[in-house]
Amino acid sequence: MNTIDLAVPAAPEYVGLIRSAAAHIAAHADLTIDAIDDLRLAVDEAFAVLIAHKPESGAVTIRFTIHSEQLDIELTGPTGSPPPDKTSFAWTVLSALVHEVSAQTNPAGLVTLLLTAKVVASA
Amino acid sequence: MPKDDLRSADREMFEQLAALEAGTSEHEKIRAALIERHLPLVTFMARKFADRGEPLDDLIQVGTIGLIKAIDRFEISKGFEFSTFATPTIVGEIKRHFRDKTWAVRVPRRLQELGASVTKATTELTQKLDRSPTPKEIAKHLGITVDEVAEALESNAAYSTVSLDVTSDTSTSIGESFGALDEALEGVEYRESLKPLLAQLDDREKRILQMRFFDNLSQSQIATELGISQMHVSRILTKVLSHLREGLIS
Repeated sequence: MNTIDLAVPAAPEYVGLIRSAAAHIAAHADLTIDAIDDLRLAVDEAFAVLIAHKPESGAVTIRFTIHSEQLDIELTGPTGSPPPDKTSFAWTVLSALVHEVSAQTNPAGLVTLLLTAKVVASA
Repeated sequence: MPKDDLRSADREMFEQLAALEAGTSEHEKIRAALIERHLPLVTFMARKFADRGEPLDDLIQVGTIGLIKAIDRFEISKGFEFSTFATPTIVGEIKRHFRDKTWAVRVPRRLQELGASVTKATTELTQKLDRSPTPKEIAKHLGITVDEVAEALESNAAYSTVSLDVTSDTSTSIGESFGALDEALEGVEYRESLKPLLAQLDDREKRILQMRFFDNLSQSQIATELGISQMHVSRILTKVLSHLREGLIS
């Protein structure tokens, strides 16, 4: 199990960085090309959800955890980002792009989105 | 068939086509026959652009769109030969494809080539394995490292996704595909604000959106279904999602 932590300013220009990081990590986690491209889209969408209220400052932290069977990506938003609306189009998109998506709010009031992409056993 | 016979057969078919009402099955049949007759012209033109890093299949596909446009616009009374009339339209579509997909950042030639071979290997392995391959499998197939595959995937993704050209001439069944998508969006919030944004997408973009998010097909399955590369599907999805996202936020 390997863990990679990143923290970027909560601003749209940093989405490219975490998208690339996600794709690179996913490639090494043995996900399929389809799953890697889906994950790229999912990270875009999740990042957009977390900064949708246009925070003036703060960071989005991203923790990648590579398990043998799956890749977990936890994105935690800046202070004040509201929990995602599960009837939104963004949530529909996220649910279709990864195997599992969930959201939780920690005691400090920060919202975390957890995306899970499973490694499809390849012969 | 000698050239003159070919031309007169063309002329005859276009005359028949003009006499029939668009949308009737007879009209469709002749139109389809004309498309098929002239596909070699598309392939011929597409090959001229084949060494520029885009899969030939994608070029043939966009070239065919040009051919169909040319067939629909051709007026026999103007006295041109069809091939003379169609060539600039076909080449125009292929060039537009390159213009839309120009590299967002300058990618070195080595990486462009690596990107093209990874794309090709992805298609081959998808057919062989009947599922999307992993970077490890691609690396093995090409005799390169997983890191190089990751690098190539990254440079492939660096294609510009900025231009969202609103294609005005979407000739077929907008109502139909939009209806299905609209139904699928039942229960999604902002449905009303999504509608005008969806209306700006062309038919194929709507179809891909529907297939990926509501029919739950994978990108590879969509690529096979539409006869384009998985990378092309991925780019279209990226473009469409960012368009919808920006539209919903602003």
